[in-house]
Amino acid sequence: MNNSGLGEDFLGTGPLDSVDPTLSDQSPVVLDGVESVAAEGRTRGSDAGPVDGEDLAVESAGTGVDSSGDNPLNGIGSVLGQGSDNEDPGVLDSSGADAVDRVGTGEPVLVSPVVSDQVTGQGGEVEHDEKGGDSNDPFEPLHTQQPSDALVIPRGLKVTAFFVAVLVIAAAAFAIFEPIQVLPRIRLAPGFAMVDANGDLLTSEDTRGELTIYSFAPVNCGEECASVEATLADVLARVDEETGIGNTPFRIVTIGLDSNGDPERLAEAQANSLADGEDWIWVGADQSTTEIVVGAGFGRYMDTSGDEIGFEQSLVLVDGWGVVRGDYKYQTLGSESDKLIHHLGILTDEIQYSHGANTVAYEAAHLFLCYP
Amino acid sequence: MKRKIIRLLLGVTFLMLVVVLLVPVLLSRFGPHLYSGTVFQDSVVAPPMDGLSIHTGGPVDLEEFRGDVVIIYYGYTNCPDVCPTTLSDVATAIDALGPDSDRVTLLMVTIDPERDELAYTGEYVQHFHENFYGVSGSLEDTTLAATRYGVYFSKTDPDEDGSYEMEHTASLLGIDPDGKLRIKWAPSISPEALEKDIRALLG
Repeated sequence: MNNSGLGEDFLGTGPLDSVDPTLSDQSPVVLDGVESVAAEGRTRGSDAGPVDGEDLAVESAGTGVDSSGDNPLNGIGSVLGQGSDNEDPGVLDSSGADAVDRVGTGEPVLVSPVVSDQVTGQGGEVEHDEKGGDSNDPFEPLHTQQPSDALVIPRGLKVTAFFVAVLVIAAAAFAIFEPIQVLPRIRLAPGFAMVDANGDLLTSEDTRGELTIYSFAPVNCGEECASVEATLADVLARVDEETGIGNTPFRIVTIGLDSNGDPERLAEAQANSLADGEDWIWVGADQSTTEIVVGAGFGRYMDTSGDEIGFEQSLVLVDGWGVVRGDYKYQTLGSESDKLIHHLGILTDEIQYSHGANTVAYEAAHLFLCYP
Repeated sequence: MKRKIIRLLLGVTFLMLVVVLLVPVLLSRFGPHLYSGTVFQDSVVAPPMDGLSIHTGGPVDLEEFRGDVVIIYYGYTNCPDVCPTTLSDVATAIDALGPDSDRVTLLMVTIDPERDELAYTGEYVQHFHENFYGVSGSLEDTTLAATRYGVYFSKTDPDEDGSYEMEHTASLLGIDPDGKLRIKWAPSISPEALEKDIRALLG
């Protein structure tokens, strides 16, 4: 086999720039005994004529070598696995001339999937470009031959899987660590219109934009309500300092279950309680309305049919949108001030920070039930 | 080696940047719909409207609307501004739903039963949209239903002519296809935002 011409041409013993231009229409090049040759980079030098001979076949059609471009040999220089009968696996020894010699001698050569060789034609040196695969290279699939049983995962799928994994992990971390806590939006607070101790009307619409804690008591509750009153007084005393409530209005409203909408009775009840008449007021309405508001609206038990008024000790926290955010029942109220302060703080934070882009985070907190 | 570390750090920084920028975009595009109204927990069953009647005949039975979105609105036919504006906006939103518009119903409960007869209430709302129905009942039943839906209303003092207005909560309440009271909209909500919320409720 005569490989001298090929070797000289490829190794730059002569200027390959002057390679017969007819080659540009005659690629791809298939080497006998070689897996195949594909070009990456430019080959310079050689006065060789048309490449032909028993060791080197030039085909005018087929795939594998870029036949476009100005340089007729653009496309020769790396080894492809087509057109060969020799299926012996191997890796092209890319150490300069030796690699090309082996090509010329027809020894089986297979290009490493991660290394593409660029023949400079300068003194037989071969440059190594570790690209790891270039998606723009039309020959890359031939470079990166995989065993037929190997699972090939498209890069796009990998990237998508990566981002999905990141999102899932982020969502899981959000749900587990609860960086933002919120109070549940339990239900609508009732609509109502009642009078206060001054005879002024207080409606549910008047409480929009403010945080309100509602309590329920007969006008002459006495000792029975002492515990709840102490809790509410404690909350009122601490709310400014401990919740950062700032400019968000806050009010405690006690609904007199048997006031019948009489301002005098309400004033008396207010005076006998720990209410201050400003941030903590008493309100009432006629008996029918009171039962509707307390029973059907707030969902609280009350019974005024007997000598003694039946009711349940409870508190309801309502936000500025008229939504119940906290429901506190039964005998737990004696030590509830810490919890109420904590919940007011959470609600205050939501009011102050759930704007713009933060809305997404707060809605996510609701979605993942990040409740205290 | 040093070059690899730098490349790695640059890669990680780039990825973090991409994730930070991408997460809000993905959440807004592929995540759950961010409602314009105030959403309640999905366990809240819509309160019944005991004693109220619908203008097509018979008592209001919310069960009949299962599978559809029902919008509850408390208003009255002599309402000078907010009621017609709100009803018109809802009609626009429903029309924008296209084929899904058939799955949305609005019930306007009159808070002025003294003047609003049931038939007239129905006629009034039908002017806005064919999917609108008038609802009426006694003052007591209306008050009970309104209280349950967080709605307040009261009558202003009559003027010399005896005419009066009604003060009332003008919010819209949304019941999802499962019969749960899910959302409260401010009357100022735009038809576009309302349409998106309704579409999300329809699923």
